[in-house]
Amino acid sequence: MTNTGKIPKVDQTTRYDVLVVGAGLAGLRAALAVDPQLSCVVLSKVYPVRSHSVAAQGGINAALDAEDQWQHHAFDTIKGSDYLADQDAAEFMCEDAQRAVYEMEHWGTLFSRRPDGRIAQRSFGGQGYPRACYAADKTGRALYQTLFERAVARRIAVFEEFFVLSLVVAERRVAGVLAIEIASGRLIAIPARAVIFATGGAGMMYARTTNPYIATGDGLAIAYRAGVPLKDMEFVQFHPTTLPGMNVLITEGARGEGAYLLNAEHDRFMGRYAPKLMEVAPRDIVSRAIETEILEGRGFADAYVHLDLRHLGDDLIRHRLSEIYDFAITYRGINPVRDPVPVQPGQHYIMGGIATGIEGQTELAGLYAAGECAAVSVHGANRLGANSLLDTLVFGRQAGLAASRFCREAGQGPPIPEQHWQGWADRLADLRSHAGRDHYAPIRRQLRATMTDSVGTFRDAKHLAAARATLRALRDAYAHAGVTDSGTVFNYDLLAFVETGFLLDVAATVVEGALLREESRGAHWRRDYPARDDEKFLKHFLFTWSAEGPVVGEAPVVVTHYQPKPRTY
Amino acid sequence: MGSDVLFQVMRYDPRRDVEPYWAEYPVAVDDGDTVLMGLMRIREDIDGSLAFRASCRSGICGSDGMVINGRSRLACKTQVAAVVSDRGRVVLEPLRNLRYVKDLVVDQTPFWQKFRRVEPYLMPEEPRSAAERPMVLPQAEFDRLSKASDCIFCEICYSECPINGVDRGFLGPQALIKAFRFEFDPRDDGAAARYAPLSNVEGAWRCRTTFNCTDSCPKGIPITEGIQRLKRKLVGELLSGMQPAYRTPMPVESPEETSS
Ligand SMILES: Cc1cc2nc3c(=O)[nH]c(=O)nc-3n(C[C@H](O)[C@H](O)[C@H](O)COP(=O)(O)OP(=O)(O)OC[C@H]3O[C@@H](n4cnc5c(N)ncnc54)[C@H](O)[C@@H]3O)c2cc1C
Repeated sequence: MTNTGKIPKVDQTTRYDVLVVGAGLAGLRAALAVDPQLSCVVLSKVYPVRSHSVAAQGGINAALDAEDQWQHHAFDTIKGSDYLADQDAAEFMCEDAQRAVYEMEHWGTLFSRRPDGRIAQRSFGGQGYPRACYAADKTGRALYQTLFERAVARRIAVFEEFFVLSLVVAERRVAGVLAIEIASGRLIAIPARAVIFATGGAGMMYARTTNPYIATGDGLAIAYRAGVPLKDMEFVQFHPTTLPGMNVLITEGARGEGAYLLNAEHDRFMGRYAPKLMEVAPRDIVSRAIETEILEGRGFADAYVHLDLRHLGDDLIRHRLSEIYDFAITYRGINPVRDPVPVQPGQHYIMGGIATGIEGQTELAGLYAAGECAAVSVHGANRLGANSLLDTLVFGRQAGLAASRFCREAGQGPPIPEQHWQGWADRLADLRSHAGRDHYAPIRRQLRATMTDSVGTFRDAKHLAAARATLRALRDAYAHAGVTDSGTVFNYDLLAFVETGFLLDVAATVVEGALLREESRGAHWRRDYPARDDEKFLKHFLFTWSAEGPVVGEAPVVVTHYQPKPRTY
Repeated sequence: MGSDVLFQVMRYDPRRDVEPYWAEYPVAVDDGDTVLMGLMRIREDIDGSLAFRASCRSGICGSDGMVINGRSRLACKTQVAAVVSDRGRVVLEPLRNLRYVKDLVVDQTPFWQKFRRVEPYLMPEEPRSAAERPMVLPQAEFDRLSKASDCIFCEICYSECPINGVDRGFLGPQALIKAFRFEFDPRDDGAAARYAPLSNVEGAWRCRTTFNCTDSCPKGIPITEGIQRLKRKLVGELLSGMQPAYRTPMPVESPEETSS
């Protein structure tokens, strides 16, 4: 079935002052922070409410109680990061947390409450105080709806279902973006003075992931191809508790509320790995513990362990963990009130991202980034649960404010050079008119399997080198691959093709960093180098694009108050 | 892989087809596989040109509402085994009451316009303040609000509502349950602004309590109950003289009109 749909024209539309790519929490928060005197537009490849932020379950951290202090939150974050976080950034985020949470409450978020009407908080992994504010186990949805509603109230312009392909750079600054209008297939060049990337994660490079289909690392790959460095890419978070099969997430909040992890011998094995914090140790530690139990034959069916919620009681499960109650029943036919839930680790989050400073600024004038696609870096080698939502709100706002300042100071941007869009127009036309080449889908599948098998919780030089070779072969295959759908309207085949290219580029940086980092830190565990090595590796890796593959540079870790110490829980 | 199940899918590409047609795909499915997993297999292994929206795979993002064996449901929350028995196959069509555009993709514009019309946000926007604002609500009241805010904008209620089918102007269940969520939030003061769209003839009164929305909501939101509470509140405002009666219909929008 082919059809040579007309090759659409490129439009140059209105100019914008600030253009935000991504309508998740980070993108919308950025847009809401843009100076209302400036023109602003948000682009999203899906309807805004489909952004992955809505899937967040467990909570958002903030030191609210009088007995708690933001400095303690900062310390927990830095220790959780295995001392790779930039401490000034972590401190900034934790100090701003209370403001961010109250702002959301004032805008309408329905947080769960304590009996006295104050916002409820629960324990989360690696936190010395129960400071995760939550809305049952649908915190992301509650926060997201509020921001979305606020964006509706403020009449923020959103181009829905526009897929950004590339960043336009001219005269060493941002000039705008090139995008496809998905409904028509039209290619559009949108000039802007400042661009903010808030494009979320890249979980689709792994076979086992809690991430959605749309988490394909677009913003990372686009910035990287435009010469902007990525940072900390070797640090990938594997969440300890996902449902085997689709790897739907079971929130850490379940353990925060008191659920146990049990192996096939009915042993609460966390006692052997983190005697103090047990089930609420940080994610890297719990994931490795589960994998170890499974590898050493104490799992079920060599694939999972049990999460036991039964002692929490019917009422708590149905009220505070209602979503996962529903998930367990829908996807596994298991009622967590009566039976333990099977769980296994799965890719969940990328600590790495577009290298930014505290204001969201990147190396490229006029380009800002925030949220999961950015690495400030506050999460370092391991993100603590409930710190990512906070990150999106705090640094989304920062990026919106900074981009506004940039617009006021930097004058009109350069126009979009014709050769920029012509390259993409030709490429897309070629793909559409040669529909029927080898399909990209097997390449994508092999990429995902390789990453899960060889670049997962446990790593070593041998497997990483093999993964690097596989990725290179896949990149060569991709150069000759194509699509089935030659049409223009809602051509998801073409988008998935482009996304696969993004994933290949991003995955190459993960493998490169993992190979070079010959130590174990946070979520990056090398069997052949099982200890942290501060002398050699207390530093960030920066990845810059080249035709041969990532070129790796370095940046120091900012240390303010907390000298690296051994990390025990 | 387990056994092959036949997926019968409505196909249509406006640039190529004069009218929709049925295509059939044998898809290998395992126990517990969802309809969405089957669709993904079609796109990746059989025919990459099949268009449908999907993202989170777990019933939270609301992308993949479609008519599955005659009823509107989320493809990611529907197991193949649970629906295949009634027809021996899985029959997939786009959502109803919205114009189909390509294959299983519909034009959602009117849905979003109606959502926007009820001023769906907490009013007024408070001046920024660093202080905590406690909210004490009886648990049952809080649960009701919290449940109403579970809406994932999947448009399944809109597709199943018979009034939306015959009356293009009707706000529809989703916009109304959104309005409910704010009208019953003790922090909100937007009743006056929402009164016109809600008590208009195309607003809450147009609901005929068929309970289709409540029955089909994948999040289990008691939408009909919310709409009835909304009506009661509107009647109260009307009888107490707080608000005037509304008789003139809101203008019907043309389908070409786009949101921004
Ligand atoms: C299941 C799950 C549960 C989680 N629970 C928690 C939790 O309890 N607490 C916590 O702190 N964190 C949690 N996280 C992590 C957190 O939810 C995410 O890191 C965060 O929401 C990311 O937000 P974001 O704004 O950066 O991106 P997203 O919300 O992912 O949004 C990305 C946006 O970018 C757009 N986009 C992407 N590519 C393009 C392109 N090429 N063109 C145009 N637009 C594009 C998308 O359309 C989308 O609008 C969870 C994550 C998962 C997967």
